[in-house]
Amino acid sequence: MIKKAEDIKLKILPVLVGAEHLYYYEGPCRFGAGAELEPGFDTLANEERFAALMSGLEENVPNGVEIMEPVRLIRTDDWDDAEAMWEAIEPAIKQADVAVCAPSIACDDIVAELSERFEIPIAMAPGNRYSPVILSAAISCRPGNREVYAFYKWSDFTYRMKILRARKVVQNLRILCVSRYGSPTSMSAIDSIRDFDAITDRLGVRFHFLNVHELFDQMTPAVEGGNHTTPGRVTLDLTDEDMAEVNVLADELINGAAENDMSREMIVKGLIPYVTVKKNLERWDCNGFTMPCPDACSTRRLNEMQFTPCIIHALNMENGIPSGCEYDIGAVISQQFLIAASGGMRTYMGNSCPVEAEDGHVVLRGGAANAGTELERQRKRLDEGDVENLYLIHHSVAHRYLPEPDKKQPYGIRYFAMDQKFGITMRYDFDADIGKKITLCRISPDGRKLFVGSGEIVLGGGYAANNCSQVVYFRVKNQEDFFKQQCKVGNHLSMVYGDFARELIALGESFGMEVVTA
Amino acid sequence: MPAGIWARASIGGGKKKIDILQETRNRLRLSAANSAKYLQTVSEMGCISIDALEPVVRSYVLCKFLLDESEAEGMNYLQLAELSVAKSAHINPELVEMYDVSMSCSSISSVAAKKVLLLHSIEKGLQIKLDAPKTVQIVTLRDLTELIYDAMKRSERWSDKLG
Repeated sequence: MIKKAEDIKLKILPVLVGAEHLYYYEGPCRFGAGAELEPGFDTLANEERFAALMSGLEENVPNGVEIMEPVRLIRTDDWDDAEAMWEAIEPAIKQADVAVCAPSIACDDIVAELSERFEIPIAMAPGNRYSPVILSAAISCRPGNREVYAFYKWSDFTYRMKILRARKVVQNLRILCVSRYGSPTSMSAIDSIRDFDAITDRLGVRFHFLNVHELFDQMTPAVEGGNHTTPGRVTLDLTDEDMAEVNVLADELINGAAENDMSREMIVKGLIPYVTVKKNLERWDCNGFTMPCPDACSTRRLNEMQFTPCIIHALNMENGIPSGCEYDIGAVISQQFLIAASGGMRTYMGNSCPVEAEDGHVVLRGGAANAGTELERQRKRLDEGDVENLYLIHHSVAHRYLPEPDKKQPYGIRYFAMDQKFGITMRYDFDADIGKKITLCRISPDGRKLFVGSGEIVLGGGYAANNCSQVVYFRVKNQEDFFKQQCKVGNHLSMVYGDFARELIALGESFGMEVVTA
Repeated sequence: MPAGIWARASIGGGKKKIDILQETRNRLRLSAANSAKYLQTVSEMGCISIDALEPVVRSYVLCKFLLDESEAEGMNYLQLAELSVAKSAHINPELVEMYDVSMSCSSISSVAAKKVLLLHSIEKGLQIKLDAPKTVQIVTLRDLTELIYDAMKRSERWSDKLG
């Protein structure tokens, strides 16, 4: 099953904490008048407090947060905290991601013990004026890795729940890593992560590995005796149903495109790998994907089967599944950070670098893919504006859902391989979004640093071109600083539309990462 | 008239103020006497049904909340509690939440305290135990009556008298 980010819910458990006086008395911790001091009053009064907490939660939880059935921790002024009280709430605590409490006087210690016993993050809801501060200090300074959040405003509570949900989204990432050689790295994106155990320990992300040849063998119908790489084994080979899906997808892509310079035959060939990858994601319960470029390309099997991975990544990203070019596992994780922090925006990724400027003119180093008239157009357009502090991302994995995750945008279809004209790429015209804010991110190869960048689109490129030439230019606050900070994390930057820097910084900090910004 | 001075504007000075205090005292005395009378009415009922209990509960609530039938018309239980607090504090009912002050160590609002005091008095007066978690779900006087009726069903004192 593919568990997408949008399917992941943060489960918060309201823990109703209260005390009941068994006798009439007044004193420094007991005040009120008349019936308020009588036994029995507290039972009913506690229910009012609990109801206020529940209605506060219902009004203020953000999307993706589920309120569980509340549990109770009630004591009397005998201070009779029976073991049975803790045992009764244990099953619910095990299902919860966060315990939300709003204790009153003489109950704070119960919440501290809750944190000690179950090591669950504690959120102190607004309402009580003093307990949030008392418990924040008391719990965070106790031995162990305690997590506690105090709020005096519901808006802060809502924001923090968003961040905790985003953290859970990242923690639930399980990446299908298709490799040819050693699993830690490929022949290009060597700034990807290498130590999988450390990443699992730090971020909760898990990995499933699959050999690239086994995957390629599955892209044709099953053969007698099994595939060459796995003789005798049952594998996810191409079926009639798969081909039916491929044909539907091909029709949809062709009919929906504003421009298309590929043959249907090549589009069908290009979509078979996507359907095969989708089946593997389902089979291995993965929700992220990456495969190498140079390593896979040099097998010559992509050339034989006439496809490139670009469309796999583009369609995955359209579906909210992080997908990284060039076996860049760091880019996959970075995309999940962006999806989580933005609440479901769709990602784009690619090579990233500063755009140099000399004497008021940009210096574009296009290479074969970005050459000729298209490169001249870009140069001319950029020169018309402020040429300082420009940056770019290029890779041909743009898609139809970048500005809005639920609104399809116009697109073109171009081939990647310029000689044989295979390899589907979707082209999106970033010119349509000039002036829009974007948020960029990348984790460092050791997973300890998170780069958070902000920019504003100034130009698109490569819409009419082929190969890996799709590009988006954007302005950053300070190019030199952006470059300096990016060097700490690596080349491929992932991006989403919108300004989510604040959320991303908080998300990185929630993992204890060093956040660098530009 | 500005919203915050709903009742205070009419209080005026010296003698008028004393009159109001005297009137409040009288109402409290009357309320205590009448509320005891309504509880007695319940005790004297032959066969108690929810329908028969409801008007007595209504009268009891109005009495405890120091409200007249005329001003309570069309209001549900929660609105009555708010109006009662507003009247006691001489403020506009819409501002009850803003002016809210809790003086007990229960950290609940004045309206919540008003409700709890009422429920607690019913528990004491009828010697029943209401289902506490359900008390916060009461919206109408019918809801309250049903909750009281359920508690009476569980009570040895009352179970035989219920229809």
